[in-house]
Amino acid sequence: MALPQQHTVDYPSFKLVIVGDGGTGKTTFVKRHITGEFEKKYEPTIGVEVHPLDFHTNCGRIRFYCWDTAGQEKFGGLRDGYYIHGHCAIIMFDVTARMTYRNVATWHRDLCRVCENIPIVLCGNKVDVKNRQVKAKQVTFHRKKNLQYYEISAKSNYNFEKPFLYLAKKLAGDQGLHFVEMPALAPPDVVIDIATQQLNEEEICRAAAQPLPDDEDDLFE
Amino acid sequence: MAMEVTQVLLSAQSIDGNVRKHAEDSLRQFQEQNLPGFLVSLSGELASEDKPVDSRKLAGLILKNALDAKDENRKQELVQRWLSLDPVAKTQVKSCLLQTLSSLVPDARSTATQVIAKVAGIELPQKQWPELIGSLLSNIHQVPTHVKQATLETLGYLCEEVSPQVVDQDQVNKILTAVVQGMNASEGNNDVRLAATRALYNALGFAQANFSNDMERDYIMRVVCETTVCPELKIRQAAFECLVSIAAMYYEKLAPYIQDIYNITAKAVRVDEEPVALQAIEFWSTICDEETDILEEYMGDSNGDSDIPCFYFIKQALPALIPLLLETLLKQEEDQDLDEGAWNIAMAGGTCLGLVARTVGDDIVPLVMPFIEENITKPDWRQREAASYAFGSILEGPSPDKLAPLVNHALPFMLSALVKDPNNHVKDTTAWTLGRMFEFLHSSIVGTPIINEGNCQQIITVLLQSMKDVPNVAEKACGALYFLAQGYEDVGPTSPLTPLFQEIVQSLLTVTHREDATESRLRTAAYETLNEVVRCSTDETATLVVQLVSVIMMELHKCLEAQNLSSDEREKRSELIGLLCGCMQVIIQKLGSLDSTKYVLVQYSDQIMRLFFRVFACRNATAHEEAMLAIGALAYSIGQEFSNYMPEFYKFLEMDLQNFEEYQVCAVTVGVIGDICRALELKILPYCDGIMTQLLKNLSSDNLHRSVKPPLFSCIGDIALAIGDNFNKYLMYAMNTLQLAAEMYAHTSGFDDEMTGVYQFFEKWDIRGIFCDFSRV
Repeated sequence: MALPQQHTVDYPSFKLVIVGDGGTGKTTFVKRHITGEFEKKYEPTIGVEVHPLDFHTNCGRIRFYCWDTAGQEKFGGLRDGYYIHGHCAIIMFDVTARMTYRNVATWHRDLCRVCENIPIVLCGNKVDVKNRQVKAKQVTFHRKKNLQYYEISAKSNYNFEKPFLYLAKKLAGDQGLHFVEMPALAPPDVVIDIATQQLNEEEICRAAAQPLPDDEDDLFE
Repeated sequence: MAMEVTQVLLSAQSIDGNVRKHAEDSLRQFQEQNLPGFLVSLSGELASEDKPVDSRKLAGLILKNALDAKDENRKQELVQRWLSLDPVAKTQVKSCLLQTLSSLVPDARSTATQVIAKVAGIELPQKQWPELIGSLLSNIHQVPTHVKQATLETLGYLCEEVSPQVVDQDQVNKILTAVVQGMNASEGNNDVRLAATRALYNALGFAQANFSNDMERDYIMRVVCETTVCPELKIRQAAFECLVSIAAMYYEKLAPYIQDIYNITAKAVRVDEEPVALQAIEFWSTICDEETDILEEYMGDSNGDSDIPCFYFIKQALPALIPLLLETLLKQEEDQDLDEGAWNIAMAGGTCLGLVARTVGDDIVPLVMPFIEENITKPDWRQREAASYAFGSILEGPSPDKLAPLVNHALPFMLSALVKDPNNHVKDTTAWTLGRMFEFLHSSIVGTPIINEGNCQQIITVLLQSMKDVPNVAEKACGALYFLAQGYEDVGPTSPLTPLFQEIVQSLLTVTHREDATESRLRTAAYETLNEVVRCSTDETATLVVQLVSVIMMELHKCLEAQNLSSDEREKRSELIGLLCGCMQVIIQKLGSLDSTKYVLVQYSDQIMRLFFRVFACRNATAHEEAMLAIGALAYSIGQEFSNYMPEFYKFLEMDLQNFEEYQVCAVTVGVIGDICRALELKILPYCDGIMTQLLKNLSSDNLHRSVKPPLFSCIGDIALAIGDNFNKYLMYAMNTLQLAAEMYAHTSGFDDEMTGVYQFFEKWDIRGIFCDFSRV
């Protein structure tokens, strides 16, 4: 199933299209898997960024080429032109921003008109934020379209591999497929600048100077 | 005028970012420099049979996107460009589009259908392209099946793009006739039938007049129902999707057809493949949604009136519908309990059952209880799990009076099953059902308590034991304990949980230390349950909560001390720090609410604040938010004493107010400033210059997420309340900002949330009479 005219690897690879409103966490979600870092600063994606992402399953290695598309239309580039030959997709919305859920229907429509009959996962992101506006009960779009729905959080890794596992099962036609190891999250190259390191050391010294609670206060052990 | 664009279109689809970007730049330049040539070239590419399908498809999509945008202003701009384009170029583009409907390449045809609909959406309202619909309709009768298929697809998209008022009703009727005839069994080609069925789905909104005509509606409904039994799976699914959409859009027209619809949905649920069965169940879920909305509107309206009458289809269908849904519960997938997001026929059936319970209330109970009683003790785990799931699904909707005796009767058995059933899936669902029992039936207002002196100890013992089970079962047990504790929130000065408090807390802390606590969100559930147990506890356990402070502070200290962490471990640590800070917040609020324990917070506040400052140094947004909220609670509790920490804490406040990127942290910080104002009152004055400067900057900033703006207004009100007359210094600046906000409101009346803060601000000012000062300035 190698993508036509693209780089090929000697194991199955699939084009995964990721769509949804701007700021819903699409890029964070992808990069979280690749680099292991949660990026705090929001930078809108321009056009599309393609990231290869490998998983190891009980049936061997597979690769998703993640086409992380712009959610803001003004940065949209070719927009649904990026969906061509998509094998599977993720539609992302932000549970703290009701409008992003309302727009899911439009993203789904545009996606299905370019990629007919592909497996799609609906993801509600940022579920660890307390002021969520889209309650879990209010999410019903997946019922209308036979989609799988997961609540996720790129921040805390909650359910972060579930969408990929679901898509892998569907694409392989094997409900028994499972990941045999967690995706390897490469440690980032750590460069501690002097000021930060000094701040950390000051905190450690300050903590060491503080008296700890006495053991006899510790009723729970 | 046309230019060769094949290679650049293929390059635009490269995985290589540089190749792709270069191609996109070329396309953008072409579009900007020669729009007519650009559009003609793209349409020529799409229409050309000797070009690769990928470049043809992309050409069509780019052409479509040159005519359409989600942003309304951008869309109008593109529409005007098209309308003012050279007529020769427009004619050429449209000719290529219609020609492509005859292409033998499916992707080229389907792309052309989308573009034609967009052009029609622009031109038909302008009385342009008058021959289009006639041309499409003539295609239906005269041409090969692949053209007929593409034409029907086009008609469906066209109905979606164009309002029926723009088209003669005579042509509307002809379009619908063509679409419905294309669905008919007499049409031998499956591709045509599928295209027609999907076209009807898109055209349902366009067909308002036809759905108001009895004969026409009868015809449409008959064909839709017949299509649900087509041999081809995709066509059946599409037909059911039409029924689901009709249920939502034309609920008030369904009465004559509901019996037939029941028959075909029942057959589909029982014997059809899952994608079709799911949509058949969805029809009834949608009816539940519609009827619940109507009934709520009926009861909510003081006139007791609703625009649409309720036909009580669910009540009528109940005796036949319930057995059907109960059957679905027995079709579980293996390992379904390990996937909380699982969506399959059993989950859809249970969801629908729950919606039916909410819609009809008590009437569902006698129809479901026999199934539960019959299956709960069966050897087959599927039957036991289905019985438990059915019970849990009907607990919201029926009255407590109806349910409580049944729950009381079932409770001992459920508790036994929770720890003794050999199947994990059954235990998972049993724990979930227990949680639902406590969520809906256990509170001080329920007349017949399901938890009493006789069984409380046993319930707690069983739940604590279940929290040692596999992670997904333990997580559900924590959820059940959460709702059990919540039910005692208003119990008064004494609670049945008081003698058990220490054991409960100890068990929950043990859960948080499990090696597998990060699975199934178990650790989060344990801390959330611990928070709820503390929050709902009575004064009797205050001394134990005091001791818990030390325990949680020690946990937080250990967490902050951890070294040499991998990236993944660092993420888990940050999550744990956030949970611990959340726990500290709840404990602080509990101790702060009692005069007898408030002193403890003063006693511990130095250590608490040191720990929180170290949390800030971790630079994790979620943990930072939680620590901020906890500090707000501490400030509120110890009042003026908090001024001791302001010199150091102010630095973080200032930094957070400038943190536009993590706007959620910024919003939390604004709220905390309000807490601190209420705590310190006049002692906040030395910091007001800095705070007000930043608040006003934030209000005028375009970079700060708009959801933060209302809290900013509220915060300014809190500062005014705290410092009284001293606020005169800032009055002019604040009033200017308010005036700008009010003017914006006048121009953009849709931003209701934005004005909430302004109203709150004026409300606070009015209460203190500060507004009078303004009239004197």
